[in-house]
Amino acid sequence: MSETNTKLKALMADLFKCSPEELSDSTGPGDINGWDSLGHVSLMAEIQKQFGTHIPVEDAIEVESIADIVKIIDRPQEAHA
Amino acid sequence: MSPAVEPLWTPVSPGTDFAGQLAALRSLPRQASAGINERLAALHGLSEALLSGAGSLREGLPADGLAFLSAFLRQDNLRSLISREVPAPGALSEFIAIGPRKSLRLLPRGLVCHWVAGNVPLLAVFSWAVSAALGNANVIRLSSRQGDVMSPLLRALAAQSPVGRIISDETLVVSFDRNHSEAQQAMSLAADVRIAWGGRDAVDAIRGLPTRWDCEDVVFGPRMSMAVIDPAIIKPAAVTRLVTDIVIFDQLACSSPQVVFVKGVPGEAGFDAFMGLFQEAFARQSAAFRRHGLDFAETFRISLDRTRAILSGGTVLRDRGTQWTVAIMPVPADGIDCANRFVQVVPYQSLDEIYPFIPENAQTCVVQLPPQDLATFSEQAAWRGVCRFPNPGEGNHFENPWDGIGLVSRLTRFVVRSEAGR
Repeated sequence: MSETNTKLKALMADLFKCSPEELSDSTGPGDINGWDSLGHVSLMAEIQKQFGTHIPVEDAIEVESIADIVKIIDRPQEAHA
Repeated sequence: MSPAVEPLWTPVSPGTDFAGQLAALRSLPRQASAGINERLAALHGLSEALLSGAGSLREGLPADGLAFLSAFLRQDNLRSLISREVPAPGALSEFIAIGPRKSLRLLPRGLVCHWVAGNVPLLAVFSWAVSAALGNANVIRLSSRQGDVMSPLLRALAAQSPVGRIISDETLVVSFDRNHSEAQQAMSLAADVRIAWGGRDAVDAIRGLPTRWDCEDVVFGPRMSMAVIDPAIIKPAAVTRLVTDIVIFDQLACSSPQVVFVKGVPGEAGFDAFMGLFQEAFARQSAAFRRHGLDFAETFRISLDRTRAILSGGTVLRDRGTQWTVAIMPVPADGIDCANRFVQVVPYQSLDEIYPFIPENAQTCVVQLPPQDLATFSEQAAWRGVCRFPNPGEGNHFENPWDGIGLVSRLTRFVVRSEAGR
């Protein structure tokens, strides 16, 4: 498991008040308590704080699983003007 | 339990010095009050406060809209919306070279007045946030029949930072009846920009008010939206997102699809498989998103439209009650009111079949098409009036441009300067 993956699951376990063992790479929005639409925005905000990665709304909408988020965090960042 | 929120908005009634309040806002010295970066940071802080649910901030705000709003107010999101339209966003802070000879500076227009639609009050927050970020003062007129969505936000913003306080102080929230002509005229005459949200009657009434000769009008009027889907390429998760676009605001938002064109023929495996997923998603998402309580007229209208769809040769898929309806129709039926989670599905085989059914007031067309079809369709449909082609799930996300209007240009003055010695 990559460092990003481990760190992300720890962040999510803290945010959604669950155990990291409950989170698999295929876990997606709606699969755990609190990961609703508002929880999703909160998650994106926490990712920005802890990883320094801004996830654009268009990408956030298409996230279907933890594995998707890991890919976004690990990809090169788009530059903002 | 949190204490009740005292409203900040001012009911404009006889004896209220509304004209004086407007004049005071117009005369605010905004030149050095706060720069764009500080303003974006303050709005970002408001997003954080929304996410943390501090105090009574979420009171009065629709739950489904909170996620949209908090995502919209993120600093990176606002920055992205601005830079999408402005070639040199740095010009919001200083003169920036645009080519070898000229420099550009963008300044706020002054006082922006927002008239908010009664049915979707949250929309005002979007136009207000962009306007405030760009340095304008704002007046927001809430309909007398809607809740006050602004006061909790302004309180939280003011508590965030000194710049949050500045933005809050530069915002006046008022409420008056639409027939209060004195207040309507005073607000219109004070405006450097008028932003009108609402139906045809509402926007016509605002446009008919007297105004300054150089006032800019931004009209977000009555629009219709649709979707075009190729079942061969859409994934199950995207079907769910498409249904969310339809369901989430009960089709009150003008960006909610009312007709979905689906490639194929009923009875074909691909079409039927899509309809199976679509129907399942409708049942699931209708349960997931709380709906406003239907009154008798709305309930009756759904029943009537189901009958109309069947009599027009359609097939109706629905729940046992009136939670959701999917009517598979040979062509879009004009007489059917696609509201309250009632959508028409129209099969097509060639994109050419769709163009005649694009309404004059088209706004959003949610699309999931192969690249070549997307290129062909979006070019043709854009010429027929469609303003946005988002992917499923993005339909209701307020973005810039909106309704074909670049907000930054309308809310700023573009100042150009020749470089010294050239």
